[in-house]
Amino acid sequence: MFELYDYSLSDLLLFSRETYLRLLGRYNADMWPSQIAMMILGGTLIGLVRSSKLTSDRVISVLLAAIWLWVAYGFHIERYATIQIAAKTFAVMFIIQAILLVLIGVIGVRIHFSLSGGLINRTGLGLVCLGVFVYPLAGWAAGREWGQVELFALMPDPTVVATFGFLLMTGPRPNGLLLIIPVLWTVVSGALSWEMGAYESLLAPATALLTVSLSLVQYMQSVSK
Amino acid sequence: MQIDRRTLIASLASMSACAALPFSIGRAATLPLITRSIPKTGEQLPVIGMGSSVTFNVGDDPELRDNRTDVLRSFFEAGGGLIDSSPMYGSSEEVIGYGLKRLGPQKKSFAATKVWTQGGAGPAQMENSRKLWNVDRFDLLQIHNLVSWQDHLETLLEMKAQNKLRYIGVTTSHGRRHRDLIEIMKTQPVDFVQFTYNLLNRRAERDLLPLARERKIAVIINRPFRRGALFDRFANHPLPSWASEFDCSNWAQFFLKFIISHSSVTCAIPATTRVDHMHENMGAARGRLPSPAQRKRMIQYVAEL
Repeated sequence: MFELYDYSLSDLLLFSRETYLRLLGRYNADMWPSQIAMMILGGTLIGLVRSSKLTSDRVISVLLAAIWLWVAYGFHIERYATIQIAAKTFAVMFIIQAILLVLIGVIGVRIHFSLSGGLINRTGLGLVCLGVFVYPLAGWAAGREWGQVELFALMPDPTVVATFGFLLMTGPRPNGLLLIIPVLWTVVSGALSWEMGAYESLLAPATALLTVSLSLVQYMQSVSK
Repeated sequence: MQIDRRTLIASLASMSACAALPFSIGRAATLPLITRSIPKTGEQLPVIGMGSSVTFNVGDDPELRDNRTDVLRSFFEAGGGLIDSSPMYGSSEEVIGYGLKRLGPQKKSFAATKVWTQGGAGPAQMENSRKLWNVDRFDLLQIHNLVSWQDHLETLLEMKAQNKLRYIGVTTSHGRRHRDLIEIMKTQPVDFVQFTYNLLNRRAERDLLPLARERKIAVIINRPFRRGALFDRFANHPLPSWASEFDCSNWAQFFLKFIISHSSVTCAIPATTRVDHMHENMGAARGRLPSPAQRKRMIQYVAEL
């Protein structure tokens, strides 16, 4: 819409850390106690991966798509858009990711989740656990109040981190199309977090880097076979 | 209670100021408010206004909205006039409108916003801003960052002719597109121009400020604290004792008085989320201003820190 070179990153961060954290606090308060349900949902998804059935693959993809849709609406459109002028664009990104999950994972049945026990697969499981169970602790450890931590299926970053994990548990390697938007999001989110001084949120870009690197390793391995 | 960098600096500066300076904030409030005339009309405007980027973008948070209303109240109580915003600043316009509605009509309010969209969408955006602010018309409408400036200028000139606004302006920030801005100032009938100028960014002294004087264009200075960077940079240094010679008792006033002591500047627009900081900022609009010699000393002082 405008010449981007006219703006620096700080020009695009138009709210303070205080305002952002209060927004998270109000969102979490509105959603309580669904946070517990979302953690149970995360655990259930891991259980479905263990079952390694075709139906499970579809259910996992549908549930992940629903989670991405919810984050698009419940967070980006309903909450974040009140302070972030680009939030609706972010919501579109998340909706596209949900559509891709349905197209590739449910209609195309081209995603097969499994707990194979390999190093990359286990790393995937680790990332899921990080996104679902550990991520809130990162915010708390960085000094946020408990009510202001970010949770899987409610906030973008832990959802993206867990999605990276699930994708690393697919074989023979993650579908590249499904990595594009999550990686793009971590670039945006990481840059804004850096500008805001919320360094704990750099965890998401770090997991993106790890996921892309491991996916490349898997790609190289499959090519050399 | 959390202590931010500016509070810490202010506390340290106040301690030294109390010990060494005869000047006090209480006395400052009794001194007359400094105003500057808008060159095209002669209308007087207080030299310190209020910006709203980041600070007023608090969304629908009721507690923060009420807090910002308190900031707005203290601004008017201290004699402030010009409030500046933009559709780019998220919910800032809506929050200002909320505050203005709660405070009731303010005689000295000078409502200034911007248009920040592609040409054809300008009129709808300006009307939306007017509704958000709860004002009958804007005193000043500016073209934000020169976006689609040819289209918007035509619209704004028509609106001014129809008495739907009082003044027209153009803006840039932190040194971008100065060349385009100079061309507009030379050739277009604008009343106001807004750009960045502060103790560490004095590029405007070379061209924009002299040109504004020559073309009789009022000057609004944004980012007077360089988005807080000036406080960061000088946090551990004492305010010089000679700052009392121009009635300056804290770093905020030091930074602001440097800006408004330039004769071509009409108004500086610091932004804050706090009532105590608003008092400090507005304190810069009273008392003596640094002389040209003192301005040189200010530049030299910060350069050596």
